[in-house]
Amino acid sequence: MRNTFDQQILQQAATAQAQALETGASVWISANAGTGKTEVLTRRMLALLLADPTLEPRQILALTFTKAGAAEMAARLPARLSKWAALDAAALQAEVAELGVILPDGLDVAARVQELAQQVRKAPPLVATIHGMAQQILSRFTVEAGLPVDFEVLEDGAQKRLLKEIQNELLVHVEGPLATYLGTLLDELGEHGWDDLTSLVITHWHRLEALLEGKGLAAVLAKLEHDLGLVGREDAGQPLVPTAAEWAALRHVVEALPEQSAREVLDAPEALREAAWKGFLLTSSGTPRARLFVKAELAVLDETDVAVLNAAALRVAEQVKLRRVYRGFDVTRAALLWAAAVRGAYVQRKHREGMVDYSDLLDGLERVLKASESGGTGGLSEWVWYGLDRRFRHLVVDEAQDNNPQQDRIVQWLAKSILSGDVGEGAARTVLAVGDMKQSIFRFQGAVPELFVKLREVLRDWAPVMREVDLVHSFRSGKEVLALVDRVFAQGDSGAVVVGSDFRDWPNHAAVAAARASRVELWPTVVLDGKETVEPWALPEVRVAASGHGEDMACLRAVGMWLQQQVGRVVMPSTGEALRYDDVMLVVQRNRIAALAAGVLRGMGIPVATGGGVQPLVVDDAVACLRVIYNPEDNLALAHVLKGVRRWRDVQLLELAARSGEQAWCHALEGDDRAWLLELHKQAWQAPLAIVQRVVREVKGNESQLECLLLWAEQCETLRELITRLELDDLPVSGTGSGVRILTVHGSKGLQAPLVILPDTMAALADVSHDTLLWGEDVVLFKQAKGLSALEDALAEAESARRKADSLRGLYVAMTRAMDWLVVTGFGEVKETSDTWWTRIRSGFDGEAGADDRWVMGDTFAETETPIQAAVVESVVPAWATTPVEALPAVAQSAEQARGERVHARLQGLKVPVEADVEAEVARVKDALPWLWAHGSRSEMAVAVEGRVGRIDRLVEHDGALWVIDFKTGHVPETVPPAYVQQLQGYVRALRTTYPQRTLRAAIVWTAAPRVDEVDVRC
Amino acid sequence: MSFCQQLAARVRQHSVADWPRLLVFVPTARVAARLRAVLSEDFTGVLPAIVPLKGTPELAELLQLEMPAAVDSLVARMKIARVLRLKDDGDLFYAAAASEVLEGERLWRRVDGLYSTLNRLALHGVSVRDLRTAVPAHMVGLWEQQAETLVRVARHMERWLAGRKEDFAGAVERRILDQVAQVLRQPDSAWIPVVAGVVDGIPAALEMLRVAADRGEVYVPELGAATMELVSALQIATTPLPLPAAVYEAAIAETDWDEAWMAALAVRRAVAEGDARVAVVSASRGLLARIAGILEGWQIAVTVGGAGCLAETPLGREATAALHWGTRGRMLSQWLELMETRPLELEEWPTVLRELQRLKGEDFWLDATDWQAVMKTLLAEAPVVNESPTGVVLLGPLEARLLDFDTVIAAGCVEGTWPSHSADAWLSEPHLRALKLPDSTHKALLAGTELESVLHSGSRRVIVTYATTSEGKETVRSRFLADYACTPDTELAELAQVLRRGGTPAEETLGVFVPQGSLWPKKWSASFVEAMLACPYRALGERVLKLAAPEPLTPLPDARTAGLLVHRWLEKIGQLDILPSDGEALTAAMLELAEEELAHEAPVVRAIWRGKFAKLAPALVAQWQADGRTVDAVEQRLTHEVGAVTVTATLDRVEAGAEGKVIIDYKTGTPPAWSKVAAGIKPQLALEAWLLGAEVQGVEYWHLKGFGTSPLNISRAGNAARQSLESLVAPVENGVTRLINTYGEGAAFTAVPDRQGGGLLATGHCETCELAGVCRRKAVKMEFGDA
Repeated sequence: MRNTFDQQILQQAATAQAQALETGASVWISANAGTGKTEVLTRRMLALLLADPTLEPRQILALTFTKAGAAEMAARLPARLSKWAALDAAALQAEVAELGVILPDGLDVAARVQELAQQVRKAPPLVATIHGMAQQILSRFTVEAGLPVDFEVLEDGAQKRLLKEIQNELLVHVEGPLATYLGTLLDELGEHGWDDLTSLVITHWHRLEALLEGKGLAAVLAKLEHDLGLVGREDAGQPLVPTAAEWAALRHVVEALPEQSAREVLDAPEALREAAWKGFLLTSSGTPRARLFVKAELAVLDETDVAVLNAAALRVAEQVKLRRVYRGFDVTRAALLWAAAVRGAYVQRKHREGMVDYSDLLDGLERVLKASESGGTGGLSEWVWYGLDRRFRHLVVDEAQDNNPQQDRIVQWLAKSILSGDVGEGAARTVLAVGDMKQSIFRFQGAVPELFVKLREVLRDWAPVMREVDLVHSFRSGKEVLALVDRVFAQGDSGAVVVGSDFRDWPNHAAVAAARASRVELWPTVVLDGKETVEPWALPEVRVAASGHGEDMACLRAVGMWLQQQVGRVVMPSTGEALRYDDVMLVVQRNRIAALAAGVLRGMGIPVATGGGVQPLVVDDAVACLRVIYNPEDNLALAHVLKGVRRWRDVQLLELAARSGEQAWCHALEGDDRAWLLELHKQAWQAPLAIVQRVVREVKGNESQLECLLLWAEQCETLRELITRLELDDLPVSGTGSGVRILTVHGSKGLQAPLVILPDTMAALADVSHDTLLWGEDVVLFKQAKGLSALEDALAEAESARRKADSLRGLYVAMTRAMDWLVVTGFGEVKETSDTWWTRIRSGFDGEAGADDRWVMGDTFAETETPIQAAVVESVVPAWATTPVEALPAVAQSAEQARGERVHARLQGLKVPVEADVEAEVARVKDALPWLWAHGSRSEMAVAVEGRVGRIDRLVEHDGALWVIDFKTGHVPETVPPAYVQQLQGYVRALRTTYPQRTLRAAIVWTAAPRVDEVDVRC
Repeated sequence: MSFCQQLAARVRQHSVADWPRLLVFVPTARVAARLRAVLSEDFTGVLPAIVPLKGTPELAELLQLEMPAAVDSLVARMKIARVLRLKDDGDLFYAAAASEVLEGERLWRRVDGLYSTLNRLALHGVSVRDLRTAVPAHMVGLWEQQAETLVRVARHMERWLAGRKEDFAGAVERRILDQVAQVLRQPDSAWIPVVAGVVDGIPAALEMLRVAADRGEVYVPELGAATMELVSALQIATTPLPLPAAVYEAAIAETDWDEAWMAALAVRRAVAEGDARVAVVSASRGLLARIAGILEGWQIAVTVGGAGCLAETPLGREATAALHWGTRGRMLSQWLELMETRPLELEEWPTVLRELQRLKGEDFWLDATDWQAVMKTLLAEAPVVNESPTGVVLLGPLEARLLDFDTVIAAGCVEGTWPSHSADAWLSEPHLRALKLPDSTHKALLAGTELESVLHSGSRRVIVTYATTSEGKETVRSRFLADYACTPDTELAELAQVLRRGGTPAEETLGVFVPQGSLWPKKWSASFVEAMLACPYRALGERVLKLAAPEPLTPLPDARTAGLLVHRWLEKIGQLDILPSDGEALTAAMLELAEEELAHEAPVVRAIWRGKFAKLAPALVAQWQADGRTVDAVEQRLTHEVGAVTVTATLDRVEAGAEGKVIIDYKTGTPPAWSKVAAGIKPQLALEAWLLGAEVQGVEYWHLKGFGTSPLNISRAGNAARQSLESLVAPVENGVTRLINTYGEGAAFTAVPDRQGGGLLATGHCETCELAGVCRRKAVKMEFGDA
């Protein structure tokens, strides 16, 4: 990367970082995006290790939020130490000096670095996610944690599959009251039935589980009933029918006005009376009608009757509302009961199969760690550290803003224990926590960003010396990008919402590479007028041709066309090279838009590296192949394979169909195709991995897109198991590696790109309209409608506020991915009331748009004189990679040879398992020729004969000579074949070299006879 | 010069007459074979005895030692399983996990763990008493309870083995080595011991090293930092054999599958360049299996080292697959019968058969589920012999130690593989050290020395490969590579990328059916017409060619099942001779019919739909009462000839009211939006009205959706349909005629992608269509209009 660092700002950044490296102090760091946290953490570890000669790398515990973060951090320290170990004294001195750490007197830095390089090889620091740490600790202390001794960790994907599997099983066996509740739930979920149900439970699993485990089902339901005001309201389920007085009033109305709509209530059959009564009194939205009767009608009606019916409207409206509230409760209860049943089966299954999920891991870890609090000194945690052979003296916590309450408790416990000396030994003990509330976007996984602020309080209380550091200097983004970020979040409540009310002011960003050109653009949103219509019964092609593409597609297409103009032409300041598609990242808020963007860009011929989520056809082809191998009578899969793999045309399919008649198509296949199918079907018994590798060859490569299928195959024992898994779960979609990256905000976290485009900016910030469930701290409610109950309104409002904060934090993350160039666009009309990313970003730009309707700020980038074609460079495949390799014949051992080996082994005295006849044959030989096993004899003596290694079966001193004995199993010929004579003559030649004075004789022993044939070895 | 060549040079310093007295210990049988081969070059005579430094029966036989009997590993495991099942009330371990039910896979995983720990303890000569004293007094925690189980099983096994006059294989190995050391130490021993390349000895092997240092020679390879550390820990006088460093190439992949391709390509390149000895070495068996599969695809024959076992062969797979596919639970006799009646043509199979026959006499009581574990163990322990002195070999690090090749590829060089992260579930780190068993630090160094050995074993080329991610998760490069400067080999990475992406596929044949003869549809039902208006290719594929996915392996009731059930029910109701005015009787009869229908359904359908029918029946009756119409027809079938085509429709229900007839179509799912009905995209009702003729007064969809606390909601498209019935029916005749004429015989039924599907539109593909892979529109770029 080309960076033109501003020395003054770089110095400020270094000063801030120096505080983070103060080895005697604990440090709490609030770090903006792109400020080089991982590097700071690596340097911190190096500083600690150099400052304290007694400290070993394994005494540092570093916790990160993601496995990728852990991997990066774990790789950096050994790499740095290894590099330092190879430096000469002066260069090493310079590196260490740059670190700014105060070294102990008399420290031989080179020796210390060499020592650390060795130590880090044997026992590196424990760098892990909290789950990873839990797994490491609990694999040693399973009993203490109350886990199965040989537990297997259930990863997220596997957990989802298991939950789906369990629900499927439960569904098949559902009975009793659960079936009734399930019916209620399925009614609510509607059209997609089972899929909706399983995904409801899977999507909300962690919260449902926490709710059920934390409070218990009965308590949750009781509280919910209470909060909804349903306790004692037996009338909630009562039918809505007129009272006697109301009935009489209705009758009076109809008597006076026979055509009045009140008649419909009186005439309605009992089962439909309620609907008619509601229809008479209420509007379709459930509110009382403004006027039940027109003026002319009122003139002839009795006032009392009118009053009774008006009062009835209010009563029924209230009751309808109550009923809808009750409906919310009823469905929630059904959902919780279902979740409880799933949970019960899930726990049983986990237990039976020794599986442990992430939540169990954290529970177990907490149990193990906290046991010392009740056990006092020498308690369990001390035992754990002893058992692990770890005495942590320093704790480093990365991405601390993403911890959930349980993770936070664990971090706090570790921090307190280390700082108080409970866990570590030795002088210096510190904790460093780094995070950024502005980037906390994992609330849906339970992250509570406010806990990061509380961690600061913990450090203040427990650390003897503590530093609070703000890292505001971005090494990533250019100054215009950062300036826009600051302006956007300075407006309205943006900043406060993102950093939290009890936090400090918005930290203004600074670009270390301030001199580097950068640029931000805001484009107007795409709005299309009207929609085309087609005549009824239009033919499908006509209808498709006439239908519009929508604003979203128009917007993305505009982005694509713009990209085609920029790529290869505009020089990116950070790379110094012309823009490539690999330099572009689209960050979107919704998966749907990612899929759309991938489709549009691919459709325009723009390479897309990741994103979109649509499985390429080659994957479908491979799965169809597997289905055919498993069941050749699957006509659909066979048609798919014939078309996609065997390159058939549709006309051939039709011919096959005609030929097949009523039987399965596979039986009517002919010639090569039939042979091919039969050969393919033979694979069915192979290991799934071998089958899939074969299938990959059948579908003509593109294995990179089939990685996940290969991986699943590896994890399955049989083809059936693989096919079942494919039925239960969708294969994840693999990226292609090069081209534009299309990512959701969550997927983009931690990544960067020279050009970032935000095309999905018009979603409402605080939109909860698509939520099915509303969550409170210890309550959940199936959403019904606004204004029904105070509880539902309060839950919706709170969720809405949280969603807004999430969305704005997402905006911060999305904007700060850009290095040089940030382009913002959107689709849909911008209204006065719109509160979206687009409108918030608009607030960061002054005045009106330029002549091209765009707001642009920042520098103009250089352009190459001759635009570079963005064509993919064709890789040249060398001849060796394409020339077929001559197949080598496989060496196979015959059954006779294998039996012979067993006879030889037994004659050598080895107790290998053998058949009874082998046992008997060996016994006969030993009985008949005991002299072969005389004291001093040797077996399997290796000799060299003219460069070849041979083995003498037995060498025996007998009758004044040294006898070379060779056992031959199987057929017994009348005379010794010449080849055997030559073999023995060779052995004798070898022995003669070593024992020139001895008399040498040789014999073949035919074990099946048994018979000894001496061989003339005088050659 | 390779290690074996250097060692051979040292051996040649001895007089040839002394060679029969030389006893050369090397790390593995492969090194022994290689050394013999080197020594035999240009030589005729007796070779030294060259054996792995292990207490093997061959060694005992050579030195004519007393050879203790080792218990069969499977028999021992079965005994451990039996002991674990004998729960003892006083067993704290079980008390701590009282709810644990040890059966099946879990039981056998634990049995395997215990067997391997006990065997290791036996190898190191650790007694139960040692085990006890290894726990520091102040550290007696819950681990003690785990130790109780370990000790309890160990005691049981001790008594049981004594009764059988057998011992763990580890103990046998140790005792043989002890005897060897004694024999060689004797002053009159004629043997000259030489130990070469062994740096990780167990205590008994260490003693052998001492003997060799006193009376013979100890040679150690000069490899790298990890090996140096292990050698210095031996504290024995050794002679170093310096090995030349190589030029290292690093091929770095993005994914572990790319890595497998890179390694396979490296093999292919080496073979093409004429290398006779090529090895891929990895601690990851999975990675080796992948590489083997790729090489097999290129028809490059490979020898898979000891990592290969019968369970991984096709026929071994067949046996294990059979276990999963229905024969699970058979008793031993049934297994024997199975195998005798279907003999498998595999050399190792008789071994398994013999083992099973032998086990039959062991007087064990095992659950049926145990046989699966027994078979798996048998298959996993039966090695596949496929040795080849030259060519391409895939080896584990232990097998590859100190061998030499022309090209060697060290694959999977990441933390977790090199070194592995495995830990002993039964013994903690301090205990391992207290018991003088290798702890994790020692194991890490061993892994380091194995990697260092591999890095010195390629005479022409040494390639290191690793992937930056594994199964989508980031990896960390092996710590042992830190000291090696590797030149990047980008050719392999790029080629792997190119080849894995595959060539340009042949031109797609897009979905265009041109049906003729019997395949040309002569009868067009209302739903077929509807399907034709959406996508003619799909309509023909699904409805004429009957291309539909088979029943899933895990069947669940689907919307179609529910629809068929309700329609059958409604049809039967229509035939009842009870008027809606007799509501109670009609409702009761409807529920009775529901029960009859449900009797044929799966339990889940019964459970869910019984409740729904209970709500549906009275609500339907009420609606019929309110409508006050009479049933005119149920499942009425209508036809009309349009050219050569017979257009047909089966009407769910036709009711007659004062103003005419009403066609009712029942939907268990959501009925089509009225806009689609009006636009002729969902023309079923319009077509039915057209077929029924002028008397039709209205068409209605009845959405049969039950609400928990409300009466059934029959959502009807009725009003809107009535208001515009004329506009709905008017275009039908022209429309249906045009449609049929357009697709007249000989015309193409072309696939028409659903362009209303948002993101799906962009790919020109209807994601939910089962025929997507047959029509193959997905592979085509979309064409934009003027939007």
